Amino acid sequence: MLDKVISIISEYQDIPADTIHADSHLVNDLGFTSYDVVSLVGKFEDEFDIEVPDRKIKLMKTVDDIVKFIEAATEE
Amino acid sequence: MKNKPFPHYIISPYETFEELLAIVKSKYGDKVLFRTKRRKSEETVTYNQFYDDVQKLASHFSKTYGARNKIAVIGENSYEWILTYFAVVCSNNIIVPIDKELSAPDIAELLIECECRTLIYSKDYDDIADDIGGIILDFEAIAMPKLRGFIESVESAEWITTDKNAPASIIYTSGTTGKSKGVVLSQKNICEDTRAACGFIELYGRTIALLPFHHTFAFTVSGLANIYYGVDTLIAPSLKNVMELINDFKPTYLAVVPMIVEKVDKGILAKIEKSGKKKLLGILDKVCKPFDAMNIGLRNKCFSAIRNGLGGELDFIISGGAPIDQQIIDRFDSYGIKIINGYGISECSPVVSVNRRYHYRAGSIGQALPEVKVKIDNPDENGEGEICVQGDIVMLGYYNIPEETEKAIVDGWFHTGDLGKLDKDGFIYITGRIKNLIILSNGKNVSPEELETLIGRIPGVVECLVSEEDNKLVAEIYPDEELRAAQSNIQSYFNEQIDQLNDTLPPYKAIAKVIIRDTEFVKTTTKKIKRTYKK
Repeated sequence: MLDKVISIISEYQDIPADTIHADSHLVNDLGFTSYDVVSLVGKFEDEFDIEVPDRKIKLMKTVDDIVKFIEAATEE
Repeated sequence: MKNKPFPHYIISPYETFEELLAIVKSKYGDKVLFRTKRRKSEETVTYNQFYDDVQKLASHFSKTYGARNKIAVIGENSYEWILTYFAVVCSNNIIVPIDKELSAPDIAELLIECECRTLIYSKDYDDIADDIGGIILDFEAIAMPKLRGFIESVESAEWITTDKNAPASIIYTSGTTGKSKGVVLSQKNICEDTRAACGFIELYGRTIALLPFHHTFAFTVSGLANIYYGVDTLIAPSLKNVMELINDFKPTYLAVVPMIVEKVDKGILAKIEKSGKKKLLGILDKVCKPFDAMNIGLRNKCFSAIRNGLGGELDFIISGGAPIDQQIIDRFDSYGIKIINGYGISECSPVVSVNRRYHYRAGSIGQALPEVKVKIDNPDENGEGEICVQGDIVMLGYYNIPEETEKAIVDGWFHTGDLGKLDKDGFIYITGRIKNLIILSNGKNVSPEELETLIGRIPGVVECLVSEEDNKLVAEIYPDEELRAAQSNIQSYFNEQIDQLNDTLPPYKAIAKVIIRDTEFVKTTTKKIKRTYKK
């Protein structure tokens, strides 16, 4: 799951996958804007067939936060 | 006609929402006004339907709440949100649009302040509604799905008589001292501003309402001006999948904040770089230039690959809420997509000036709207001074803070707190800011003082300053010397403290970077920390 998430982030932000880690902060480390984070979540929704309410997006601060959210959502 | 004085579009007179609805019902009738999409299904609302829904829901609100009561609305963009707004105003009550990023205690504070006891909310906000119910006594929360039942319960409805000059809306805006102020607008304020803006910009075709409706600029363009012009509007509940929506719906224009334009621009530039066609596009731009002057539109064909990436039918983008980089405007111009920028402030309903599609100046925020007067107060030798506005678009005042209203509106002129100058043709140029407000490219206004007060409560902070860098908030902290000596890693200590603070703040107020200073800040003669203004 982590690799897939990193791969999507890498493609979205056009940055090498090996510079992205589980504890990378989307805004502080990877240069995301708030719009990028929302937009990226849309990609995860399509990829994993999940629905993420906008209000939950603010909880996704690091790559690991995203992985955990997707894992929980796909288990449901 | 390119960049020459251009006549105003003739706009039918209306001063209330009811009058606007009567005009558009007779003009557009069964034409689709709004579309909403949920996953694969799409629902549409015609102008006739919207007219009937507003009339019946207003009738219900009038019977239930009487008049001059405040009713708040919160939720993602939806038909029900916009219906609520219209119905509350048309029922002679006062709508209070709530920023959906605020926490329940913050919302409760605003509701208490404006004596509002009713909140209409979308289902994603049911926990917020519950939490507010735990804070405010006699609080009523109504879930949006109930609105349909209210409408169906009204057999026949008449329009309620409303006063065009009475308060119709209270919009909470970031105060310069950190405390939000309720901007009170009448129907006449709102209608005059939309009419004036429509006199400057003609809307047509299809659009996507991307920006949250509680944003005054978003509501004016995507909830009022589009209605007047009969635009088919897809309501986007979120900014997720914006590019997919644009490619599917093929809008003729969009109203967005600079942050979205910047992202699209970056994406286009990256694609051009990868395709290796940068040089070719430069040549095409030169080829098109002489034809631009003759008003022969070659750019749609020459730059069709870029345009097709944006649905293929996008003619112009209205960018508002924050300043936009002129280089981006110029680049989009070369693709044949005009970016229309302007200037607005909630206190002026909100649009004050616009660079028009065929009449504009680079680096300017356009000319004042028709019937709106702009002057530069107390100009210096360069003609720079505070931008002041007069006209029917100026608010009634701040809710329950007459002293702030008196400070803001002097001799009938609203003092914006922004510095600027006018050229000989009346084009306005922003040059600075008197108030300490950070305006991010997503259109959010942040009061640095509010965040500095909160950061100042962190143990070990002696002084701090919040500023903006690359569109992110940065906190610079001068720490206590004892703490500096006691903490082995003072940077980690403050990073953790700021992270904890960020958890309590709406995302747009989150501090992205912490800088530790070794020395005190430079002060003014009145011992205030010196701030530098960034354009």
